[in-house]
This record gives sequence, structure tokens and C-alpha cells, in this order.
Amino acid sequence: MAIAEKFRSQWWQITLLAALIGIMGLFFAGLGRDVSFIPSPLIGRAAPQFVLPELGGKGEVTLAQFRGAPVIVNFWASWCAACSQEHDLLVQLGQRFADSNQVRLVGINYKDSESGALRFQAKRGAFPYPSAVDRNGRVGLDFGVYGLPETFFLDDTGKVIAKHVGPLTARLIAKNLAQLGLKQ
Amino acid sequence: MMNGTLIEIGLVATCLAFALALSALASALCCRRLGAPALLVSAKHALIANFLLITLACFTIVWSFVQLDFSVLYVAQNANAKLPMLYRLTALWGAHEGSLTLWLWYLTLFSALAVILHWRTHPLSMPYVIGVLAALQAAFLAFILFFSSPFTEVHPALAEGRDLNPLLQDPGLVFHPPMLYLGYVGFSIPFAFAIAALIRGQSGGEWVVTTRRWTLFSWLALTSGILLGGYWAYYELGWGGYWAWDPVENASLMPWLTATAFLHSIMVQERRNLFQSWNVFLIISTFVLSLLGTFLVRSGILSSVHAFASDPDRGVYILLFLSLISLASYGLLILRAPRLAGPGTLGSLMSRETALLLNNLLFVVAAITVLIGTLYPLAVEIVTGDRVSVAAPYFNTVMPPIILVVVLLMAIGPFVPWGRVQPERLKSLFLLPAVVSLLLLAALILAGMSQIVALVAITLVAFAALATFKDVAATAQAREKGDSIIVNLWRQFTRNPRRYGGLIIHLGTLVLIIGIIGSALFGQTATVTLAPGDRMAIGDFILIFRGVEATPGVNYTSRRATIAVSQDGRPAFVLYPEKRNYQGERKMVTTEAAIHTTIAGDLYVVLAAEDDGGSASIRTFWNPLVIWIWIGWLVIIAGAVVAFAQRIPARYRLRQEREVFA
Amino acid sequence: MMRVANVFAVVTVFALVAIDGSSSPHCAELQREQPVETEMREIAQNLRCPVCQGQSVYDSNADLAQQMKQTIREKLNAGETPSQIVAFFKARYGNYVLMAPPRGGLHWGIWLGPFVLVLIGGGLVVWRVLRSRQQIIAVAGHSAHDDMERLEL
Repeated sequence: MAIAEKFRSQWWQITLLAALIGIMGLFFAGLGRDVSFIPSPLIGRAAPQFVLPELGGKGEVTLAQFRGAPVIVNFWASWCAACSQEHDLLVQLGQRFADSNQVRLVGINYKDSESGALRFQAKRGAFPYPSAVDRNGRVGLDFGVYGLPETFFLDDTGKVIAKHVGPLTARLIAKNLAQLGLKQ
Repeated sequence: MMNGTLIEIGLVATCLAFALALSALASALCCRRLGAPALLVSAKHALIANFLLITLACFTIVWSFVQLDFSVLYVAQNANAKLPMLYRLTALWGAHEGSLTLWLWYLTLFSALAVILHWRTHPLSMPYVIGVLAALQAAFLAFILFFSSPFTEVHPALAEGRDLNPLLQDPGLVFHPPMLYLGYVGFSIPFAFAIAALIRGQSGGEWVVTTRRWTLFSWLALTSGILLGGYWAYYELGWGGYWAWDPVENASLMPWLTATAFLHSIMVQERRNLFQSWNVFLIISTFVLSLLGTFLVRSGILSSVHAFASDPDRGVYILLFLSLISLASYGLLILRAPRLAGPGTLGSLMSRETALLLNNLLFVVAAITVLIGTLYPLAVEIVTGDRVSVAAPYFNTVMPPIILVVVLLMAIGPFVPWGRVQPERLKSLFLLPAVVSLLLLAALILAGMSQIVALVAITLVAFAALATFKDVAATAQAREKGDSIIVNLWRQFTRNPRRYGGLIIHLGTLVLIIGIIGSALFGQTATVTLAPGDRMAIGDFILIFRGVEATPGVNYTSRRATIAVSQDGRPAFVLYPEKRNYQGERKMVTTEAAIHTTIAGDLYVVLAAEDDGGSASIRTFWNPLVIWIWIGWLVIIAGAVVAFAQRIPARYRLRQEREVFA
Repeated sequence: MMRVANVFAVVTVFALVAIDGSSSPHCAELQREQPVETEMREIAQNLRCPVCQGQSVYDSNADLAQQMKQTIREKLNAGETPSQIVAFFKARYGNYVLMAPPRGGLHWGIWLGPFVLVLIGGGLVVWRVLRSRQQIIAVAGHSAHDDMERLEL
């Protein structure tokens, strides 16, 4: 075969060229991505259960109490600068679904002080949904939290459908709500 | 003089240099076609002028630092009033824009030198050499002027600067980057000559001989740059080690590996006329890998403690530049390789050529391994979306076997004759060293050493060292009647400096490897929480924790622990590990380790954490034989200096002169 | 009188030394690294800190790294094995938190790659050498041995 013969006599040239183009292509594809992003192994699996005290209240907040409806779990803290960026969006979202059971929201106050968290809400507006207190970060560890704010979208069986690291945007919320099967 | 005027001079000088580089490139390319040698002379003058211009530009930047001229953005970002003078002088290369300017300065320096040194002996190659160097200069100048200018001004001038990164406020900054870049840029000269040889279809391979000293010098600079980096990381970062297989460290190791392969295989080209295309491939790879290192650090593509701040535009430009150079050089090699083939052939499996070929194989596989290890996470992420890490555990598993086989080759290669060796000769060369090293192995096993890697490594190192000593001893003894050993050795050394310089470098490398074996395989560490008055033991030492106190510094506050160390029951010395808090614009906490160095090893103590009750968590290391690494480096320098004295053989000089009159 | 005073002084000195020696609680005691610390170090040095630039969990001073180290200590005290602890973190942070690719399935390539390359390269070298020898025999028509002699510089 002519091609095979040509390859045999010029194998190193072809290999070198292919390797070069492959490596350059790899670099080009790699530019501009976020090196600090870590994909979550929880996606497609059941979210970790938790039982935590409620912020500013006397009761407990558990994941189990939200079973039966899609849940948005949002990790936040008063020391997290980026959390203020998404705060208003979250408040709006909470108010939108406050009366229906289409989507439930729960916040988790991560490695924060009670006074700091309450002051944050007093200044920027209270969340219209409960927040749990994860003082030592164990629940955050279970969720694989590494950089606030982080938001998890769960379906009605408690399975994690999506995770977003960084402040939420309206577009992202819409996209993930659609994935959960909700109409706008 | 108004603030900012000086830096404008620097900017103008750089723009002028850019124009000159482009004109030199054009002249070099056109001079043959137009039959105008005067054009080539003007190109030569342009390159020399560029050196002067860029020196001026660098001077303006350094002077702006010294004067703390905060109307210059680069100065404002990297200095403030409290910055000590030493770091004002060296902050030029403390951040991205300035370090590229240093790279450029080296490039203009070497271009001018190369052009002056080789003008008379290589007139036919000059157009291409000048063309390549001018193109490289033009590309760097364009990048600096349009994407990373250190000459940007800020009006009104800022009142106070930010600060030089506290980790860089250390003598290590004075030496490590300049030495490293010296190595990287030094390879541009053999690269330019190799490209010239490719374009001219030269099969004689003279370029290898011409650039031999350039290669040796650049190799030495790169080796020193890497070791200086390791030394600096060792005492500055406080984690007890000197090499972390960080992507940026790997980026400097890759060109070193191919450069070492190149340094060896050019000997085969000189002696036996083999490996011409392979040598061109190696020098192209070395230079491309040096550029790749520059790219990786600045592109934001890798996550590393060494990385400069990233900017996608910069990354794209550098990558385009890199791709262009790689495709052009390797493409040229692919097209022209058949023309380079020489008359020599490999004859025998047991010969020096084969040993050197195996050396090349191992070094190139090592370089490929490091490259794959660095690229693998990227590839996996693009293909599967998952993120994996390839870090120290991977490299510490796959690299040692390769290094150990290299040590074995070090024992055999330099002493096996060229062409072919008779089996009896093998026995006389290697029997004694082999037997003694195996006896050593037995002794170590009986003494209780059980780590297989350590046993194999020490045996091989002993084998290599003994074979080397045996050769030198045989040389010393093969003397003419009446000569003393010293005179004889001197005569042999001066007759063949490259060989003996090479053997000294090998011995230095063996010392270095022993240092690595000691510290990597026999180290001890313990982290203990101590209250004042508590004692702990590590190595042969007893440490007594005395307490922590606040100590002010020039631009930081520090918590300093006092640890009294006694050895053999008697107080020996006191160590003061610190945690420094830099409170300026760049808030940072740095760990200053306290190190006590002896020939047997380093006692390395770090203040890890304090609690409110006066106790502290103290991290201690006993790192055996670390100083052997730096001693080995000094021996390597000595060997390289000896090898530098090797003169170019008469037959090559004759050939060059024929070129002049052709 | 002087002798009594001397004896008294010597006895006092000895007594003082004895008291001083016995009253210091740290006299001969050497603090050692806690075994849990040693085990934690071995695990933490092979885990990658998720928020740092490539540092191991052990070397990092980041808040999350400290939390992870504390978690490792607690789990070790509770009796978990190192592989269970590593699996714990892998389940939460994915393969990223391991310092080297797992040795399974897709990733065999990178672990065996260098070894395979050396074998292929070595094979090529041997093949080239043997082929040149054959070429010399074919072209020159002499025995290979004679040619080796002639080619030696």
C-alpha cells in the first residue's frame, strides 16, 4: 500500500508533526479556563443529609424536611465579599417561591459568627427562607465546599443536579430552574 | 528632571530597538537576494545597537526604582518607600513585565556577542543567524511594547507604591531569575546556528562545534539557575524541601533535560559524524521548551505558587508566538533532515556511541515524562471534564528509575571506547569498580539498610564514582618516564580539557545525587506542640523551646521563637525560626525557617503555629546531606570551567576559513 | 569552724541542686510527636489542598486545609484507616484532591507511559544499530569485524 510505505519511511516526521499540533491545540483549548475550578463528584448523587441549628431561631434545619420538592442549597457567610453580589437575587428568588412548594430554598451559614450573620441580613435584607448554621464547616466539607458562595440545585428526590461556585446570576438561576423542570 | 521623563527615554529606546530589529530581519533576509553585503553589515550594527538601547531601557527602569518614581506604574506596583535598596535594584525582574525585559536584554546581549564573535568565521551562515536572532528580538519587543510594557506611566503619580511580593524580598531574588534566564536565552545562539545550518542544508555539522562553548555556558547557567531556585525555595518557603515538582519548576527542568542530552550527543556528531538531525531536533526542543517555560508561567493555564498574574490576551500572544516558532523550526527540520545525514554509521551495541544514544533516550524520555505530567490534567479536563492532579507522588515514582539508569550509564559510557569494545577490555575497565560496589551493597545490607531504592542508588553511585576514579588514576599512572604524577595529570588535563572537565562534572553530579538520596530517603521529621521549657529530640539533637516573642523588622513584624539546641549532651547553638507578618500593601505571612547546616545534614526548624497559652507548634526536620547538593553544584561549575578550555580542533577552523573564501 | 562552714556550704549546694532538679517537671522528659500526627502527616502530604496553588494539605496554612487536617486527626482517633480517609475526601472533592491520578482504567497510560517509551526507544536503538551493521556487511562485502577496525578513529 502506497500510504503505508510512505508512513514507514516518514514515520518520525508525521509523529513529530502530529504531536506538535496536538500539544499546541491542547494549550489553546486550555487558555482562559478557570484553574481553580473543581468539578463536584456529588452531581448525580444524593446530597449529604444534615441536621443543623437554625440561624436566629431555636429549632433545627434538616435536609430531610425538604424532601418532595426541588431544593436550592446556598452556602453563604458574612465575611464573604462575593455573597453580597448574589444576595438580592436570592432574596427575590425566595420571595417568588415563598408560598408555592415548587422550589424550596435553604441557606447554610458557613464558618461564621451568629452576630456577623445576623448583622449581614439586617444590613442587606433578611433571607425569606431559613438558614442553617454550619459553625465548624463539617457540612460544608460533606458538600465539597471550597470557596464561597456555592449553590447546589437538588431535585425532588434529593439528588444533586447542578452546582455553581461563585455568585449566582439571573441567567444561571433560570437555566438551573429549567433543568429542575420548573417554568419561569 | 521631571518625573517620568526618564522612563519615556526607556520607552523610546525600546521602540527604536523594535524598529531596528525589524530592519535587521529584513536586511538579513534580503541581503543575499539583492547581492548587497552592506545590508548584512547594517543588520549586524542594528543588533549591536539594540544591545545598547535595551541596556539603556533597563537602566531607566532600575533608576526609576531606585528613585522610587511612582509615576511609573511598574515601580508603583512593585516597590514602596520602605523597600530596602537591594530589592529596589533587583525589582526589575520581580514581576512579569520587568522579567521579560530582562529576557530581552539577555537576548540582545548574546545576539551582539554572537554576531561579533562569529562574524569573520561564518559569513555564509550570518544572514540566517542574524535573521533568526532579529526575529526573536522583534517578537519579544512587540510583546513587551504592546502587551506588557514596564514603561506605562500613571498620572498623577501615586503617593505610595504597593510593594514587592514579600516572598521575593530575599537575596535569592538577586541570583535565581537572572541565572535561570541566562541559561534559557543562551540557547538561542546554538538554536540560531542550527536553523542556519538547516536552511543552508549543511551536512558538515560545524555549527555544533562553533556553538559548543555557548551550549556549555548556557547549560551551566541553567543548571545553576535551577539549583539556586531549589536552594532559595529550601530556606525561604519553610516546608523543608527544595523541589516540589511544581509546574513552573518542571517548566525549567524540561529544557535542562534536553540540553543535557544535547551536550552529550554533540560529541558523537563531532567524532563520528552521526546524529546530525537528532542534534538539531534537540536544540530546537531545548529552545522551544525554554520559551514554553516562559509561556506556562504567564498564561494562567497552570496553577502554581510561582505563576505570575495571568491575562488571557498575553497568553494567546505568547502561545501564537510559540506555535509559530515550533512549527517553523520543526517544519524546517522535517523538510531538510535528509540533507543533513552524514557518512558515519553506528556499528556496535557496546560502544560509546550507543551509550550516548541510550543517555539521550533516557533524558528525552524524562523530558517527555515531565511534559506529559504537566499536560495531563489539562488533557483529561478537556476530554472528560474531570480534574486530576499530577504532583510529587507521581514524579517521585516514575523519575527515580530513569535517573538510576542514567547513573549506570555515567559509570560505563565515558570509559567504553568509540567504535567497538572487546569483551576483555570491558572486564578490565569495570570488574574492580563493580566488585567494590557490590561489596559496599553487602555491607549496607548487613548494617541494616533496607530501603531498596536507597541500596540500588548508593551502589550505582559508588560504581560510577569508582569507575571515574579508576580512569583518572590510570591516566595519572600512564606517564612518561621522569614525569611526576601532578605534571602528568596537568598535561592530560590540558590536552583534553573536555574529557576531564566532563569527568569532574560527572563526579559533581554524583555528589549531588548523594545529597538527594540522603535528604529524600533518610530524612526525619516531627511536629510537636511545646510549652516553654519542653524538649524534643530529632536526629542527634535535643531541642529546648524557650518561648516566642515579638520582634520588629524593617517592613514587617515578626513572631520569633527561641530554641536552644544541644548535641551530645552539651548546648551547641540557638535557632530563631520566625513567622513574619508583612503589613504593607501586600499583606502576607511568611515563614522563616531556622537552619543549622553541617556536612552530615541540616537541622531545619519552623514555627508552625502559636496558641494563646505560650505554647507553640514546632515543626522540625533532619535533612541528611543537603549540603552535598550545593557542594556537587560547585564541583559541576569547576568541571564546566575546565571543559570550557577545550579548543576548537584545527580541522574545523580550516573548514571555516574555506567558507570565507568560497 | 571553717571546716563546718565548708561542709555546710557543700551540703546546701547539693540540697539546692537536688531540689531544683527534682522540682523541674521537664527535666528529662522528651516531647515526642503524637502518633496521630505522624499518621495524619502521611495522609495529608498525599492530599492536595483544594484552595491552594498545588500545595499539599499538610504544607498549606489555608483555613480549609487546617479543617481537613483536623478532620483527619479525628477520623484517625476514631479508628478509620488511611484508605478510608482518602476515600472520604475523594467522595467530596473528586480526583482533584489526590496528588496523583488514580491507578485505574483511563489513567494507566500516564503511569506506564515512561516505561513503555523507554522500551520502545531502546528497541529502536538496538534495531538501528543492528541494521547499520547489516548495511555495512552488505555494502562493503567484508566481515563486520574488519570494518569496525577501520572505522575506529
